[in-house]
Amino acid sequence: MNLKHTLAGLMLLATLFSCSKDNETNFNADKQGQVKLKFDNIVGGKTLVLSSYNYSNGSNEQFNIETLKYFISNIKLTNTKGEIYTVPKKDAYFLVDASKQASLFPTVKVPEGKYQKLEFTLGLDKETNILPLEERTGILDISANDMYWGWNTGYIFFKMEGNSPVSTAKDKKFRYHIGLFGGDKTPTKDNVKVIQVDLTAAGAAEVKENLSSDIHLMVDLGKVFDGPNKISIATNSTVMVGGPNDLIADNYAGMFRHDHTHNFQKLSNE
Amino acid sequence: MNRKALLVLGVILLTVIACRKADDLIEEQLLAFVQPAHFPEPLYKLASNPITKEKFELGKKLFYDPLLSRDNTISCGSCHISGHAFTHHGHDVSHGIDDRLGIRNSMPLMNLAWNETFFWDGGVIHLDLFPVAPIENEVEMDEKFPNVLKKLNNSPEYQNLFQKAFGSKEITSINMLKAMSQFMLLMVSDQSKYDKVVRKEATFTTEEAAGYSLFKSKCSSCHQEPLFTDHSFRDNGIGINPAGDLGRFEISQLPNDKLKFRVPTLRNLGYTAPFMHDGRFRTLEAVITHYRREVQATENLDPILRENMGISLSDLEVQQLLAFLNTLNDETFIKNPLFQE
Ligand code: HEC
Ligand code: HEC
Repeated sequence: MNLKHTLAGLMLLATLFSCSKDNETNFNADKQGQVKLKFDNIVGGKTLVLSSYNYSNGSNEQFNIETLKYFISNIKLTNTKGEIYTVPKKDAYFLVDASKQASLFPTVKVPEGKYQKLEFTLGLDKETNILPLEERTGILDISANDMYWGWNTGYIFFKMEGNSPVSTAKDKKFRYHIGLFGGDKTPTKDNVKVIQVDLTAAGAAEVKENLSSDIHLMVDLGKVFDGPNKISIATNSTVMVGGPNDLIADNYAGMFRHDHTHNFQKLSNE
Repeated sequence: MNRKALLVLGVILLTVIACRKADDLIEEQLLAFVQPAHFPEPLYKLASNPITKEKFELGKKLFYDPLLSRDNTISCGSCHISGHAFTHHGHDVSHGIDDRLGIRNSMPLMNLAWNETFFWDGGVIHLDLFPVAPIENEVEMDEKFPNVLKKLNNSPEYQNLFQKAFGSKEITSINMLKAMSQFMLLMVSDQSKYDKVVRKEATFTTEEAAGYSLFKSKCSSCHQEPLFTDHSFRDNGIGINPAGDLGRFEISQLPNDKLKFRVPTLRNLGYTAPFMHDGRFRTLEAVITHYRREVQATENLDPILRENMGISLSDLEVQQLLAFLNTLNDETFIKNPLFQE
């Protein structure tokens, strides 16, 4: 190979590089692509397998998990220009249920763009909790999912149940049902949590029409016991409307970590 | 046929037609939600659930159907008896399935379209959402709401009734609860002597009138006219009971709600004994004695009662007050066949 050829080759390479850079920012905000949120439930570093694996917490208590469900709502994404896109409220209600594989990957439609911040509510806000009956359809149907308190109007935001030898319940189960939206006309405790996830470090979400950007989140349920607050199963085997539900909610607000993003995925890809 | 016979026939026919018309008229009148002129606007949005005969009748059938309980033994009507303004007369705390006892006194059902919240602790925020609570309460009906819907969907009779009322034989949480609301919404009590006096159709006796002015100075800051409640949660100093029921706190988990209960209406007290959230007072006299002499200085005791540690009333004034409270009984409501099983 002579010098001329080498030079030509280098120039071609340079052009290619700059081209691909240009392509990267070529988003059309009038078009929409898909964002898939992948909720990968784990306990500490161990995969969540319902009614199977044994786990332990920081108080050295052994437990397993039989039921895990939580509501996700009010999804927002912020692009690199700082513009916030809010997914229409009605299209952003999801119930993540560890016993239903399909529920672990909610998808939403988002305008094309590069997004560096994800925000969602863990639970359901006041507006949703006071909806008129006729608007409570789909996953908000009060007769579906076992995620609604009839006697203290409101949805259960987060439900985790399992077995533990240290439980003080007769059946040796622990049951954490966390709700309370702040009350309608008269206030109550408020456990609605808004979760912010920075996507810059592990990969921004690049949304293109007919493609999916898959945001993979690790959800560490160990944090329920070992977050800012220590929760022990022996001391608190049942926490629902009574008990330290606010401390548990503070804990689980910190259980989401962005692991990576797979951009430009085919839509059928699971 | 001769003329006489024709005439008789004509008269009979006319009478039949006239009767029909009158019946229909009565039915239509009874089956509309009539806003009493001296009441505020209802909180319930009637436009979201327009009353029809089919829906009302369906709601009534559901209210009296024990199918709503786990073992098909208890209906809403078991604890809410129409002749007692829909309370569970004679029980301090209600009796449910398997004879299990609750910790609360069954509430009267009336004027529910004006409620801001439901239950002594205000735990339920809308009438449409209400029935799920007793159905799923383990000391009341102990059934699962989805299972009730399943039982209803398996019944050809109900499928037919829902088809007629809602144009669909599929029974959902929404149409089932809307029908139940219709039955309860029409339970309007506005025919007491008090109401007639307000409407200038009657006058108080001297004793009742004296009682009324006492009431306005001593009681109406909480038991506000014309519904005789301001819908707020307050501690009237009766003190905690052995069940440890903390009232509004059980719902809100806020410490300053401890021992607060919803201010109840004072309408129809003549039919609803015993009194207070746990039915501890068997007579109205005992309630008045509480306000006169037994108010306890609990943590959240209402400032109105803390001021004088109760309400001072002479023996004569007690009689006058009782005479006034008696004018709040509404016999028309209690005897209304529309609500009877
Ligand atoms: C076992 C007895 C029992 C049964 C059965 C029962 N209730 Fe009740 N009901 C009660 C008691 C007790 C209360 C008050 C409870 C409280 O405040 O905690 C109440 C309260 C209510 C209230 C609230 C009234 C207000 O002013 O806030 C409504 C409405 C009501 N019941 C409707 C129903 C309906 C509808 C059903 C059937 C689906 C039903 N109840 C079944 C005992 C019963
Ligand atoms: C500071 C507010 C307040 C004042 C003033 C007050 N009440 Fe009450 N009242 C309440 C509350 C709250 C309850 C329910 C408490 C409970 O069940 O624990 C209640 C309950 C009652 C009941 C029981 C009703 C039922 O259905 O069980 C009666 C009767 C009653 N009050 C009468 C009166 C009379 C008469 C007066 C005036 C002499 C009066 N109240 C003044 C707040 C008040």
